[in-house]
Amino acid sequence: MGITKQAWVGVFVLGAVALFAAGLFMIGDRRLLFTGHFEVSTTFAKVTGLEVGTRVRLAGLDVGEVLEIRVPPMPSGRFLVRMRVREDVRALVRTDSACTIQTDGLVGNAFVQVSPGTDAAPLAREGDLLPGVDPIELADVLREGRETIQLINSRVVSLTDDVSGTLTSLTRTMDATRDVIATAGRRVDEFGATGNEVLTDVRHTVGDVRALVERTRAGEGSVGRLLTDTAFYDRLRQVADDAAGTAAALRETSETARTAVNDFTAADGAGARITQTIRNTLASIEEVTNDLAEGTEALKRNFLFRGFFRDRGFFDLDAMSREAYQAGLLERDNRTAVRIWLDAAVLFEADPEGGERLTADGRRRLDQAMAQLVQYPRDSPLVVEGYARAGDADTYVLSSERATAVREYLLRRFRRSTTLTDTMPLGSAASGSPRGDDTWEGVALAMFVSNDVFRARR
Amino acid sequence: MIVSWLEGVARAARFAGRVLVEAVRPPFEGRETLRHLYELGVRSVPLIAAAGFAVGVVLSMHTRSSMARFGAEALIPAGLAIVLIRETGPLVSGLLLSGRIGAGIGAELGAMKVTEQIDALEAVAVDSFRYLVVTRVVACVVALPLLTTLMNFTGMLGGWVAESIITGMPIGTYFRQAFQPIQFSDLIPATLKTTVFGFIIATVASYLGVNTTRGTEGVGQASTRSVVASSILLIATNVLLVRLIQFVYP
Repeated sequence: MGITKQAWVGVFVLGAVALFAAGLFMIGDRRLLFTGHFEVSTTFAKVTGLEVGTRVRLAGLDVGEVLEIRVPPMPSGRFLVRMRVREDVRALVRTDSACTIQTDGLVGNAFVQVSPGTDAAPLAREGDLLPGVDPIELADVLREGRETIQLINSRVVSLTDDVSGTLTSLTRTMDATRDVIATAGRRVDEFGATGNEVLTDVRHTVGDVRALVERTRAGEGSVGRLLTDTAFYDRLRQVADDAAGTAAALRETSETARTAVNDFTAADGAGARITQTIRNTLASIEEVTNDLAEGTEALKRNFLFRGFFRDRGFFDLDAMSREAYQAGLLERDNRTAVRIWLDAAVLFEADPEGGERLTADGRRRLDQAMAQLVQYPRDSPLVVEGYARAGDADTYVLSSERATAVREYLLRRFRRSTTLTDTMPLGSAASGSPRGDDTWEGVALAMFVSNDVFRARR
Repeated sequence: MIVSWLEGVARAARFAGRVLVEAVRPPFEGRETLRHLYELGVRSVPLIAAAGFAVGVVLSMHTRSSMARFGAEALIPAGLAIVLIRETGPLVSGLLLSGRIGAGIGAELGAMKVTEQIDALEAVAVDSFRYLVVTRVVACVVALPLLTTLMNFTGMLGGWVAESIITGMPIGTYFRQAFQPIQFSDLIPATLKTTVFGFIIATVASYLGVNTTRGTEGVGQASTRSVVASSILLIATNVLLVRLIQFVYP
């Protein structure tokens, strides 16, 4: 073997090794092993065609490669893609640079496209996470297209139906219009013939009017004579004067009637008196009605049925003295008195007739008190106890009026049974009143509740 | 017959094991190895370069017609590089060299065997196995990756020529685009696996050569069987190696 052969072997080996090294250098250079670089990351819901070594492009320029694709721990997670990017393009990679997965043409390799960020956003630093925009796969586009075509088809079918319906309606409308036009034509013809007749009549009427005017001007006929006869004018003037006198008389009569009506409607006039009489009559009727009702209830007090009705809660305060009531006679039958004290200063005000009447506040206060008592059975007896200032001569009367006024209000307002709602005028003797001195000014609502119910409510 | 075939396999395996053991044990027959490297490697350069260039041109043309259907002509350099570096370069190199080197080794050693030259070497106390077989196997193992690299280069060069005729693409641009998708895991394992090809070619041919019988007829049979057996074994081994590489570099 000569030196030439050894040289050839050396050339062969060195040349092949150099070629292999060149290949390695080109791969390393593309992978930025010999240039400055930095790493950033992004996330995708799906990494279509992405793999380690996939190119990274910035505005179309190859600037790096994918280093790692980290699989998410859960299905809802996103793939973390770690990328190596050339250092010399760092100025373009900002924190708002969006990353997308794109492909070269329809069948080309996938690559990660990093969009240049905005000038205002800060530079991306080593390890920063850039926002990732999920790729749109061809299958998604095809599915969307198929759905769109189906939607268009359905709309076209619907539109065709609508157009067909519209054409049908239009055809009917045209037929109807044609009928209307034909009918109108006939009507116009008829109207034309009638119009000619009317015109002829009008023409005749105008001629008649003209003749009448001519005759009137000539002083012929009633109107002509009216216009030319002065005696008739004098008579007409006299009639006008008579009418003026009649009107004055009517005015005077009307004034008299108005005065009479005012007198009638005055507070102390006949009308008021009649109204009062009617009111009294109605009160008497109501009293009679109540008496009738109470008389009807007499059967319930018959000794044969008394026990039965007593068990049902009926009672008779008329047969009960004030002292017996105060001694707690109604509470013996296994009942407990629930008493609500109401002050007269709130309930009543003086009325013009010298008595007392419920005030608006008093009615509201009674409503509030009854609101507390509605928790008990409605068939529980309710006694309105009336109280008045001690020492007055009409203490008992005033307490009775107060109790009656309240009872009437409760009967009217709450539809209480008249047999289960009664009054008990007690004067000034108010045992257990909130005032503490066993006196009270006003009323007390005393509801006698079954002990069982009372304990249950408490 | 099966038993005799299995015995042959066992003898071949023992032969290969002895090659591996002797290859790493001194003394190393450097001059003889270099001589075989010249004969097996350098003299195979024209064949490999021409074949690689032709393969590159043909692959480029085929790739262009396929890629043009999808408007992806820009991927031609990358596609060609992937095909060449990953598989075509190593496999075509191995098959070409199994034909040229395998036939040569089988015929040469078979002739030495039938002419009793090997016995003569043994008679003068020369380790014929180390001198004749190990040097050839080592030279072949060294030559295969180098020749494969050459085939890859010439193949890409042929691809560039075909591409530049049509598009006038500069060679620098072509090679940059060609290496865009190439990873270290594509180039290094595919190139280094050809050392196995070289070992298989030289070992099979040497085994068949030193076991030649029946005179000159046996020499011809040894030469033919060397090419066939090494090619089949090379292709089968390539399947296993590709799978192994994909396992290591998924």
